[in-house]
Amino acid sequence: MRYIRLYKVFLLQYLKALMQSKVDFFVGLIAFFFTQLAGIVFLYLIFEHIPNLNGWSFEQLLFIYGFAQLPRGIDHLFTDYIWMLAMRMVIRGEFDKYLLRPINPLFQLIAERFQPDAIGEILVGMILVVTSCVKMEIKIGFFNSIVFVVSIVAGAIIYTAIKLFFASIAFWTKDSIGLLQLVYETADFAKYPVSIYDKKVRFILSYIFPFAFVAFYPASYFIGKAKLLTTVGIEVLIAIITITIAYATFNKGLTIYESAGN
Amino acid sequence: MDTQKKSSLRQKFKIYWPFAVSEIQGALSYRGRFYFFILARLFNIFITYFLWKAIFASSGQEIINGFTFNNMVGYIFISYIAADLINSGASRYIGYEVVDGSIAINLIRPINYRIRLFFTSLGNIICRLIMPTLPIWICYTIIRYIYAQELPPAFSTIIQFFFSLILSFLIMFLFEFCFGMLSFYTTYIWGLNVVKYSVLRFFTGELIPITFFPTVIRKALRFMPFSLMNYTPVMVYLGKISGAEYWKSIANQVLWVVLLYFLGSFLWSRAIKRLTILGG
Repeated sequence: MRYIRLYKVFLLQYLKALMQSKVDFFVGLIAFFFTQLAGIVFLYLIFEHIPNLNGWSFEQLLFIYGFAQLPRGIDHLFTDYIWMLAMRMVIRGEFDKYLLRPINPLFQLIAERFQPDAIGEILVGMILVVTSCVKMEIKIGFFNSIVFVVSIVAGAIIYTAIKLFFASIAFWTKDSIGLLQLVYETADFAKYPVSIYDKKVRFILSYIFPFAFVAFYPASYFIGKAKLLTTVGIEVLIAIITITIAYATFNKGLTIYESAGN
Repeated sequence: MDTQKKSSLRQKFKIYWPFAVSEIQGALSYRGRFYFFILARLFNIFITYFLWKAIFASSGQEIINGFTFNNMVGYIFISYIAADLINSGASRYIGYEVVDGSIAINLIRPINYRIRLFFTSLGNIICRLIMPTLPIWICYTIIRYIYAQELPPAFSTIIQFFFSLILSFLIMFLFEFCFGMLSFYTTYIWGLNVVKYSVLRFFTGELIPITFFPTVIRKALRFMPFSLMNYTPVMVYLGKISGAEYWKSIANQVLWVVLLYFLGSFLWSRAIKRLTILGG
């Protein structure tokens, strides 16, 4: 409860700052909108030449693409500051301040920034999911809406866990931004059906950096191409496992953290 | 007269060259970070590769829009290499310097800001050429030879490619300089850069060959410099632009270098005036 109250205080501060720079907010929103648009236009141009891609229709691809944006956007909205841990907090000794206050350090790290740019990402995702659902005439009932929310939350947790794990490596290596960026980039593979990749890439996406379970597998459940347990079921399981590992690594990192200087 | 001009050029070079050197040294000290960044971008190339593979398999055709699958693989990799050698990110430098105020010091110094920036960009590009672009190109060429028995293009084609690439670099640099002038008007240059990056990736042909665009857009692009930044040199490399058409493209590129040069001078003089107002 205390943490929810604290987060509210942090968030209000943010929104105040945000209102001062509305232009920045819109530029950020449009920026992400454009980034995503490029990928969609690419698919659109391609479909002038092919009836389907590896058995997937244009609408189905849009659904997967849009679906992939949602957990990513939500993770981006709330936990963007974890990047700073990977980038400079250990080198500059900035982490000290979190250890001085009687609040969970991870909570403080996350509460440090609320990233409204991500709203652009979420918006694109929602638009794509809704329009492709309408076009494909998929009706999402009560049960599936709950599954949908669960899947997106689990997906966002997987993103956060992967980010937190590789950022925590900075406690040992001082900076892990390159590594984190590399891993994060593999998430882009999951915007397309995993079936287009060869075996090795598919294995990496499913079991090493499980981004396929964030986007492609749950999306294929909603399209009606896969079963619930083997997609969203495994996704939830992976979310629990990865966040546990990541949080343990973060805590272990705290014990060896020594400030900048000596 | 002529010798005097030559010596002053050499003097100028002596003044500005250290900016390139310092950029190279800076890049060398952040090597670890840089390699990861390169790997991350290579990942993106592989996504595109697999996508095209699926696209060709699904289309049931050997040739799409004049490209065979092998052509397309060549296109993806060469446009990746070209993009790496063309984009110096000059607008980002301007953004940083405006935000942290160091632009003021640079204005007091008796040097031309644009030329200085040009040498900084040049240093950046030289670094990338040595590592990783050249090794990637060599690996690519060897792998292509083993798997597709494909030889690299003739030496003269490579020379033509490089010549066009240098002009592309100039166009991009001058464009970036113009774009960077926006930093004087907004502090949120990061967001604008993201927009620019995704728009450029599209209209320069880095993401998909321009022949895939609808005719209307293709016609509109003819009056813009974007396709000259990446698409043109890549098509030269692939041997799809040659002979008279090659020289026409080069003339077009030179025209845009001149246009963007003057546009940059104009925008710069306006932006500087604004900066003075804010300072006072």
